[in-house]
Amino acid sequence: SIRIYTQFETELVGAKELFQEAGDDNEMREMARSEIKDIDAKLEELEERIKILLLPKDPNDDRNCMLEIRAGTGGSEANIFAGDLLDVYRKYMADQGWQVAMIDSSPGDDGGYKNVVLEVKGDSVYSKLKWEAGVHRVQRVPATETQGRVHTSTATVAIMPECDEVDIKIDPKDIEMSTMRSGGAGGQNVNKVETAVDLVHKPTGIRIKCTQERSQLKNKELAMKMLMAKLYDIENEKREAEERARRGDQIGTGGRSEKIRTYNWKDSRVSEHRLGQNYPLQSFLSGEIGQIIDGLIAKDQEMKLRQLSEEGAN
Amino acid sequence: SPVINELLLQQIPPKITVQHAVQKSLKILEEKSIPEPEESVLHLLSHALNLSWENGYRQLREILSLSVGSSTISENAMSPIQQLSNQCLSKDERDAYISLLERRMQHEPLQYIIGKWDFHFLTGLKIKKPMLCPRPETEELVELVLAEVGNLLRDWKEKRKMRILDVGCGTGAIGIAIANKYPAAVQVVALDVLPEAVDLSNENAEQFLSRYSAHGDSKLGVKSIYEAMLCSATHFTNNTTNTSRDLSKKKYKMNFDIVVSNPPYIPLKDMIDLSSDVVEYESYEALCGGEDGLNVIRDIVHRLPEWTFSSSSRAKHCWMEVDESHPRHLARWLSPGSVEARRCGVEYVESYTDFCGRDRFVKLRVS
Repeated sequence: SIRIYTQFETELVGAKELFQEAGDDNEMREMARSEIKDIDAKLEELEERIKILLLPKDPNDDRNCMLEIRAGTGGSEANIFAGDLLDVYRKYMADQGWQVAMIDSSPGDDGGYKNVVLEVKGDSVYSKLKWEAGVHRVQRVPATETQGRVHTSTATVAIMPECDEVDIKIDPKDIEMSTMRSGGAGGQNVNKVETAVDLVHKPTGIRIKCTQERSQLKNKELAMKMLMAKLYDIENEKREAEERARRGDQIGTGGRSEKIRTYNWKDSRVSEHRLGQNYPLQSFLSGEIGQIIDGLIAKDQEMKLRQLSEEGAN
Repeated sequence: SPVINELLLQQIPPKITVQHAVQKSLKILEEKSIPEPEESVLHLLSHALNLSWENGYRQLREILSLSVGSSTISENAMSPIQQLSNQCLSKDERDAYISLLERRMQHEPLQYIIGKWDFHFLTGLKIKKPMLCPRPETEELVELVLAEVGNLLRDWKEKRKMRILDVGCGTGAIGIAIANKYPAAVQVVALDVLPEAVDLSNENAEQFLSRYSAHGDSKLGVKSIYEAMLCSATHFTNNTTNTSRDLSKKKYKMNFDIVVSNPPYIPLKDMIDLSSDVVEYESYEALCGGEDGLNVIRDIVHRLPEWTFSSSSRAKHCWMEVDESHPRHLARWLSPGSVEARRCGVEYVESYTDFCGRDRFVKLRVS
């Protein structure tokens, strides 16, 4: 972009010279003038783009991530809503061409999920999904409701960037791991394919269950990966909260208890609270959340640019 | 059995949806007390429907927890999971699933029915009866050996590849998993007494290791990384006066750097407690180690000095998966400095627990 910018600058100088040399030749002057206008506009556009590129980037943007949906208040309806959100995200991820694997899940008794964790891999995964983190609220008549009353339920989405031992160090002594084979005989005596791993991180009490792989070793590694992602997420959250406090901030990527969106079935609308805007419910349910995410990214860039210029002015 | 067949044909009618097939067959297996009914249904139906190896059974697990008619809330197009859930089984799929279920209802191991399974980082290792289906504990044995290989490689001064001997290779799981991590650095020789095991191990080696071989003829290349041979522990020797073998037999190269084994180790008295899926299908010889379970282990100990003989002064280790009763026996028998340890030329070093806290692995040193 810088290269193109300097190229345009040179062209502008050339056009201005032409303008001078044109003297009394009106046609030439007009040509030069419109060229100058044209180049000026392009320069301005490039300037904006370069400014955005120079903005401090979120260091996690290029990472893959884990997406966790946890049903909040509302009992069965909250579980079902968590399942609905999962469907929406699945469609969006398929559209983006991302690789998705479900790592852990606790299905709800009447459908949906109490809790579900996905691993998402692909281009710019974290930079887009991070905007989904927070509390999502739904207002509708639940399937289980017999008297047609509208209920409000919630589900919390957490987005945890993938990390490794460089980011987070875990002491093996802090981990307690158990498996299905813990009771009774083992080894050659038993042939069972269930290799679920259950691990507890003693210092934080975080508990991870991983059942997804056929190989026990892979389940262990996946469980550790999830644990690292959660611990890293907690650290990030702490750091971001401090930064938000410092800036007296507005638009953040989370604060896990921030209510970011309300879905109203009766009015067929999605209210994105950070943007103060509404979107059609049907498009959201079809997985078209790109519009909302783009809006949030744009607003975030706007804020950062403004801050930059304010800091520059001081 | 015709009774089982009747039951399945009736309970799993033509045009049944995937969701109903999952729910109905799960109930049948539970009622017949088939072990791991849920895993059985998920993996067998995934196999019958030819779903993806990685995701098929996970998708079916989700479908199992979907309540019937859960798609009524969202009026938009169904998610892929819901679509799969409502899909009807074709005639072929239904026939295939029913015959798979029949086999499982006879307690046949899932790995045998499907013909492959995952082990360590080997995805889709071929598994055939009567070779032992690899257990999760054995993945830990592989990890222990890999740690030693990693350590040795840091100071590796020899011009040759590191040589590893896998005794009683079965499906080839252990040796191939090791070679898979260090294909350029190690050469694995694997032994088994069953011709089917030797063939299967070489077949699996071809599948997983030929990608690393440099030669145009991949078979030649794979042998430089892994080769399985038909031979028992006792007969794997160049000392012909000790055996009744053919004198014209060519000499084996013996300078192994590491020996690993998951030998038959179950004591005779414990064989009776084994569940039917193990005892009726898996090889008796691969499981029972004699009265105290140590028969093959003793054979291995007696051959260790010959197998690891070399001019190098570097310590040679033997890693084995054993019965819980064995570490203390071996610690006593081969106690460092004891008469027996000196006679055998092998010392007990230490034991390691598996992820269930059982004494499962021993490390011996050739002194």
